[in-house]
Amino acid sequence: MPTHPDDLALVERIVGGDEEAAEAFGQQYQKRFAYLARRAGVPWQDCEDVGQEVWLAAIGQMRREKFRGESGLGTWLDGIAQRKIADYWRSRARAGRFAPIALQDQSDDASASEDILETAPHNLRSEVDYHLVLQVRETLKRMPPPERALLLLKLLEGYTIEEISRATGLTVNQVGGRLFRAEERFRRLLRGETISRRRASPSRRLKKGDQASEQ
Amino acid sequence: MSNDNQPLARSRQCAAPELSRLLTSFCFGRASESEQARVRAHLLECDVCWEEAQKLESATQVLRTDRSLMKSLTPRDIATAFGISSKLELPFGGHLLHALAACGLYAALYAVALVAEVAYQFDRYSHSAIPAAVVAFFWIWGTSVAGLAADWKLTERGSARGWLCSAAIFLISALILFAGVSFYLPKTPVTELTMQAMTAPAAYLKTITYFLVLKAIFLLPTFHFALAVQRELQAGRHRMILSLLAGDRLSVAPRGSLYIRIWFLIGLLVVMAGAALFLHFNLVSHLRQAPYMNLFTNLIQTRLMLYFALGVECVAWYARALNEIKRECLVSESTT
Repeated sequence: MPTHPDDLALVERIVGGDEEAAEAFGQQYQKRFAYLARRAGVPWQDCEDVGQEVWLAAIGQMRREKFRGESGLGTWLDGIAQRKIADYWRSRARAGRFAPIALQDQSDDASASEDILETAPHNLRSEVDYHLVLQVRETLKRMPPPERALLLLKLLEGYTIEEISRATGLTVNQVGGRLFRAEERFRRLLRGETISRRRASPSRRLKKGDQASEQ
Repeated sequence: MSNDNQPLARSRQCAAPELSRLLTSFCFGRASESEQARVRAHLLECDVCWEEAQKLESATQVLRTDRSLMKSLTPRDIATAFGISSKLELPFGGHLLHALAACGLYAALYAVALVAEVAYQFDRYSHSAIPAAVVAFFWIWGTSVAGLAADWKLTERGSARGWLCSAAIFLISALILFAGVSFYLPKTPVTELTMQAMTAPAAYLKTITYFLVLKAIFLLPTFHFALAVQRELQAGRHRMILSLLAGDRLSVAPRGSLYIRIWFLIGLLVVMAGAALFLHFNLVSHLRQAPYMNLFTNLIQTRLMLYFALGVECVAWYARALNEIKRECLVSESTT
């Protein structure tokens, strides 16, 4: 992806020694660097520090004119961020402390709680946004039950696609495809899209007579 | 320069939609290493995706940790999620192979029967009989697939007339084919028999009537019943369907469908096989010796085999579908 002209202008000002530009760059990117660190398993209380180190390293390298525009700015910055994250883990390993936790393995973590809204205030490992929790619950309610089931079995219960496949008789590809559709629907509902379902739900479609027959 | 210290305000639209699409896999932890690297670089440059990624990733963390979410899931949801009813949205309600195979066998019957009608004078009709049979095959196969697809679509949308539409398509396509081959087939008997023989078009009409009867009993009602039941299970009517399959006298089949018991179909298939074998040997015993008698005999034997292959395929598929339906009902009811 080509670098945005505004970003290139900012980089030129940083190279020219403009401190305000360096500050603006920090405001623009530090949170993102911290996010990348969090994704790489860095404990959340250290993420801001790692983000700041990436920012300082990026400013230093820009001033030494290491950014030549051969790759996109994002790719270049990601390279620096990944190196700094690796440095973080190396220093931790030397100190004999934490090992990285892959983000996708966190479902197996003991921090899974009975009700996140009740336990979160005491759980320092969770950065819980109450509104988000409520929004997630609302989003799940709006999903079709089969997709909701699949998503929760995979993410919350930690079943692998192969395990779900064995338990249900569906092929691995079928489970994978359905899971992908469920994730897509969750994403779209979460960002507030109204998903026009191809059909109304069967219970809504059935005529009154049908409903009476069941009763 | 007053805004120099502010984060840059950029477009509210992502400039790389192909990377935006990868965001789902990225946040749900299913992206490959190279995809992750591309998305990470993109997130550093795109404000729109960055904001969405933050929110989506936090949401997935909630999904991974908030056990109370399981309360939103009933055992019936799980049974429905993975049972036969979940396949209703797939092509032909998840019975694609059955639909294609049954339509293929059904179409092959018409093609073989057409060649058989002129086999006794194959030297005279061979140049036109083979292309005509190929056309007949694809015509019947295409219209049959369309008929079953119409049934599936209508039933999925809640209409009770899917089977009617499907039956009409089958019947009309057979009649159109017959009208077409009537121009081609000689108006005199071609097969030489020691008894009174029918003209070729009349014999072909009689034969396709047998095919239509087979389809009307073994293919259409069973296919439609399975679809209608899948729709009912999606609506949560597991108990009603289970009592129907268990033979409860007070239970009713889904509107617009007929529940044919599997043992009835098997019994009927055995009776039909007996009758067909009798008729087949009766016909063979009345054949006159001719150069292409052997070809004719082989063709009518092939037709007979295709006929019962179609019946057996339909019965086997139906038995499997009923088992799947029962399994879903039992799982749902045992956990309710």
